[in-house]
Amino acid sequence: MDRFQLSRRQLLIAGGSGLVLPLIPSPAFAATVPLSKAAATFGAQVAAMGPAPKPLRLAALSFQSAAFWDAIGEGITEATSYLKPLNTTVDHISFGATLDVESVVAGLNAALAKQYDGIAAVTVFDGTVSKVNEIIDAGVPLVAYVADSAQRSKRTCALGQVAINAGKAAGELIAKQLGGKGKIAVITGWFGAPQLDDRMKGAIDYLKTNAPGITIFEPIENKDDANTAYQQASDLITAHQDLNIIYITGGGPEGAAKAIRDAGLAGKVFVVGYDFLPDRQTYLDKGEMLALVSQEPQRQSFDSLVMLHNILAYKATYPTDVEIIAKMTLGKFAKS
Amino acid sequence: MENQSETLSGAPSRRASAASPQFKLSRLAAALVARREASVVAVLVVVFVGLSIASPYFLTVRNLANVAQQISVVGIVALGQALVIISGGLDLSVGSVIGLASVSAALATAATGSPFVGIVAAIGVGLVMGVANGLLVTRLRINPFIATLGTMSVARGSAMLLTNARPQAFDNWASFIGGGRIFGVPAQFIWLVLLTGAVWVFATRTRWGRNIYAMGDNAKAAIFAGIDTKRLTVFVFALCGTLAGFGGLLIAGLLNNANPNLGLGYELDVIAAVILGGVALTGGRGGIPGVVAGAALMGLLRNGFVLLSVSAYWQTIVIGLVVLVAVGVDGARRTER
Repeated sequence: MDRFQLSRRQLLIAGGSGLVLPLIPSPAFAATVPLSKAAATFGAQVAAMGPAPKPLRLAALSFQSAAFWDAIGEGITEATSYLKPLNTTVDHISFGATLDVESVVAGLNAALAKQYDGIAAVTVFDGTVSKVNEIIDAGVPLVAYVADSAQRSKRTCALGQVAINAGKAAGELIAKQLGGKGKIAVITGWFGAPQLDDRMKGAIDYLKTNAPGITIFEPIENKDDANTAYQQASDLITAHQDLNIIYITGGGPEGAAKAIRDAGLAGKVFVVGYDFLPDRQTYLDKGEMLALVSQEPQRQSFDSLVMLHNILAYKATYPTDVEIIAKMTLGKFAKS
Repeated sequence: MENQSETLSGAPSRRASAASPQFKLSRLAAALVARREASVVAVLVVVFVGLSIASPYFLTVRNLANVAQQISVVGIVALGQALVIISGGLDLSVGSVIGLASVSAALATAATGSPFVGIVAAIGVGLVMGVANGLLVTRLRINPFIATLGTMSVARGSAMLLTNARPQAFDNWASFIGGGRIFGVPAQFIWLVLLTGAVWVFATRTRWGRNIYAMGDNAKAAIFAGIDTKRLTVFVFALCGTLAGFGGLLIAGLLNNANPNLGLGYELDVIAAVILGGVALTGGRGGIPGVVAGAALMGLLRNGFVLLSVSAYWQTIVIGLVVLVAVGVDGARRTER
């Protein structure tokens, strides 16, 4: 999610009680309208159950300030094309480039005022809870995607990756790669950003428990900046010449990978990070990047909107929390 | 210069002793200590010696090259910012201009197939943004803080609009400007040295340079003295923007990649380096070498933190304390005198 790693609802408790389910199509909402080729390619899981009996208007609310949000926009665009022949129109509303609670509430207010039938939104801040509740009380279903507030609202459904589980998956990959022994450094985007903290905690806790032979250095912060990540990776490589992996929870992993390349350490030191972007392919191919954990952004926005279509048109029901399981894009040297 | 004239106005007996080497040395030392940047240089030396003792990796060629690279972009942009602050202004847009210039370089190169056009685009965008800042301040009489706050947002938004917030590849011969090494020395550092020399000569040896100090010290007096302060202000902002644009080009070259979010928050690092270096925020006073020393101190601290595995929370506290100590010591010395 680059520099906009944000808090999302902690689904662990719900997961423990069986509420968190992977979004696998079930007979209750089995596909009746085939997914488009593009939607299938980016891993969409929810197909429309048929055309809406009456015209529906949906709002898709998201930010617009990084490649991650651009990918979210691709999913919205695809859903717009997919649902249009099914009597449902989708409007993409941007919260803007600043990720703060005021922007989200303003976007939700606008959607409410325009009387949409359903809303898909990134309700990441606790300050959005009362507004989300107001929307639900007004009879408008709302699907939270990417990141939901830590404080639970009445939202119809929350769809997204559980950051601590994603961190655990990264930890498992690191432990497997190093055979339980080695040294890793951690660069996080912003201290105090709950999602990034959880990604860090998920990996570190796993490694401490399951691979105690791996030394983990003190985490440092790069403010999601690739240039800062470059400088920090250069320093880390210099200070710890037996360093094996740099784990980056937020933006800028390409900066650290470039530092490894410039130091001539490809194949010896690796980056494990998040979110595949085309410009990172070269580092996966040449071996500076070991793996990137994907959040499937296009799928998240697409599925949210199709779920709303099905809820409104066919009274479909979905689990209240749907976890996007972390998928890895592996690099040249990753042990599969 | 003031100290020198005071010393030379002494009695004949003192003139005789002035020829002795001890006197010359003590006079030189006194002149150095009296300089505004003395505090930051002293702290810089202490940190350098401390890190040399504390970490066996600090004095390695690789690490010194790392440090040289790390201070370069902040140092280069700080040169322009220093002139703006000395002239009595402030430029908050430099970080965003870095981002806009970097993506402009990548997009222009991709569109034309010519990295040379990319170089011109980056520097040109910086120049245009700088001129715009200058015109907003002089023609529309907008306070520099507000004017550059606005252009900061315009530049960042433009970078995102142009790229759809997607990173752009910048992998061509022009990337050597920012990512290359000459005999092991990072190209960025060579640029820093060259530009520091050029800006220092400009600020101290040219009429325009001296006029900037005069304008920052007392704008009304400068106008009465016949200085075209409006033109000078536009020039200073243009130079600052150009250097920020060049900084964006250097980062894109280093990373082989231009991201619209590059340079986010750099304006604070740049302003901190300028203030650390002894430039008065009220304008009219400060030296160019001190600005580079300020950037070097911040770079050294950050490098040292990683080498010594210092907790990130402490890093933030220490950087804040160092700024306070260096500026506070300078202020105390001035009060004593």
